Amino acid sequence: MNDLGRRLSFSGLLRAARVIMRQRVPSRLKRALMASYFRLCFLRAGRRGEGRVRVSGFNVKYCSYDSLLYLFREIFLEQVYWFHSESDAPSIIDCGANIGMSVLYFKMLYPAAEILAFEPDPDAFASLSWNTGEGNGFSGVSVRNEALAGNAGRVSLYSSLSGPGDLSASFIESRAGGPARTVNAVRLSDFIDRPVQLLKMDIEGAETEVLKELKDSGKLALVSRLLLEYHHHIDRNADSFSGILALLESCGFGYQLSASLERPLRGGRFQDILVHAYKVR
Amino acid sequence: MKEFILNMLRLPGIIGRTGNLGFTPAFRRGLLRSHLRYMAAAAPAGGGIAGMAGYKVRYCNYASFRYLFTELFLNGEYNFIPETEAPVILDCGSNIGMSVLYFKTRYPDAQITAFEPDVAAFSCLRDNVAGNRLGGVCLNNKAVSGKDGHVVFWRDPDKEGALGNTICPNTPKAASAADSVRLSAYVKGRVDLLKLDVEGAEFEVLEDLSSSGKLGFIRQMIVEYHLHMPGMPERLSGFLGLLEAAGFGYQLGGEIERPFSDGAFQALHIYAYNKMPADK
Repeated sequence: MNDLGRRLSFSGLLRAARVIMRQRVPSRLKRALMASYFRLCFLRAGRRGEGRVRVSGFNVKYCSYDSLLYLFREIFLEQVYWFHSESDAPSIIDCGANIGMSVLYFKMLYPAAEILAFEPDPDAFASLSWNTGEGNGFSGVSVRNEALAGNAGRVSLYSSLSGPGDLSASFIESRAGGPARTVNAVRLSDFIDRPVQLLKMDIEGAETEVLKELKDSGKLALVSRLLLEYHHHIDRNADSFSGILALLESCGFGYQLSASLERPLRGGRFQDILVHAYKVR
Repeated sequence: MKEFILNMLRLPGIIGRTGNLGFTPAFRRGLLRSHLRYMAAAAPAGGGIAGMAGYKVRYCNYASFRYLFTELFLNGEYNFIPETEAPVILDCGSNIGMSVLYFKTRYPDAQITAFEPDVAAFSCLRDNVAGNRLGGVCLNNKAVSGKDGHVVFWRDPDKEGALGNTICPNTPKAASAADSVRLSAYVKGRVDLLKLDVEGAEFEVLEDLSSSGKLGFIRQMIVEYHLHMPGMPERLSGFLGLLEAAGFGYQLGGEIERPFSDGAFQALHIYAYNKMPADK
């Protein structure tokens, strides 16, 4: 995944083209994606810091070019958040939206989607609110500069040293390793009172407590699909992923997992595990 | 033609990868030569014998052989780091023995106990171990499961020794009988690696190891976990829970097929390692 076009290489380009061709999106979007890929990877290579760029027909304001590239590859090229919705206007909650690339992607899939997005990091939030507001003039998107936690209140958000709006800002100091800021935290259950077609969650270590709170409040029953980024081995000696799966099983969810296993096989490695869970009818 | 071009484009990646798999330079050259030869030749029908980097490999069907060759020898799926140069390995679901050849190539002094219930695959396994003069390998034409005795073994009648043959009743296939053993009876001391690829029986095997108190003897595990086998309950949480309770850590691997479809079968790779220090 990370070798996808970081450098100018024939195989990187070829791989991107193959990935794009495989996607279940109209060919008009495939052409736009390919053009975005060129723009991002070649024309602007070497660019650092914040700025604006057009991605797949959207205006995108970003905090860091490297993060933007990473998000573009994962969300638009690999389409890890692709999901099927019966409705043209699914209700989506996006927890940990960062600069809003996921929101743009959902709007590309379902232009009439109703989206509520959370992002605690103030720098990322500034981009998020521009990207979903004046930048693209979306309707049906609301954004909140808040963190999600098991209890409402003030929490410390540690940022990493990679720059503003970075992707691994977390409550857990060892995950991020940089200075802390105090941000507002809210309970997700307070925002769910009707069916939610998709709950996307990438909240850097807080996922277990937020999911537990959602189950205990009975609101998980209103959610029909989850895209959960589980952060395995934030503490390299703690293995407790079975708890998340048991919670999902007990609430009637089936799931599939996506994760990459490095060779040689070695323990104690940090891993992002994407859990795609769906209500079993 | 398209396949050939794709294969050529993949070649640089394969050449790079095989350099990091711990093979001797001579063996690696042999592997690449074999790979090129397979690429150039048309796929033969039925069973046969293929040369592979100095080994003679008898196989039941060519597609499975090529698949195992790629996964094990070119991609290094079982590339693990044992705590000793003479690891004790339990290889459950050996099929024609490509895994045995892999382990013996990397660790010539390994002590391997292999299990394979399928009669056709087992006959290849026996020939491959004897024909390549591999010592320290003990073969069992048996299924590992939660009980001793006999189990119904479901075979694909159109494909001899198919990789999906299983003791779990899933898709309609031809039924036959197989001897079955509890794996715990074979764990008498430290086991450096348990390889478990038993097409859906992995939960009962782990349960047997756990309830018999033998799980603590195992240092590392490579498991192919079969998620959403038709007719099987969902219990990956239980499987990981057993590992956690026994003091194992784990890493996971899996790929989601596109487009996403609810309830689709998925083969997950679980690498588990004992976090307690080994008894000397």
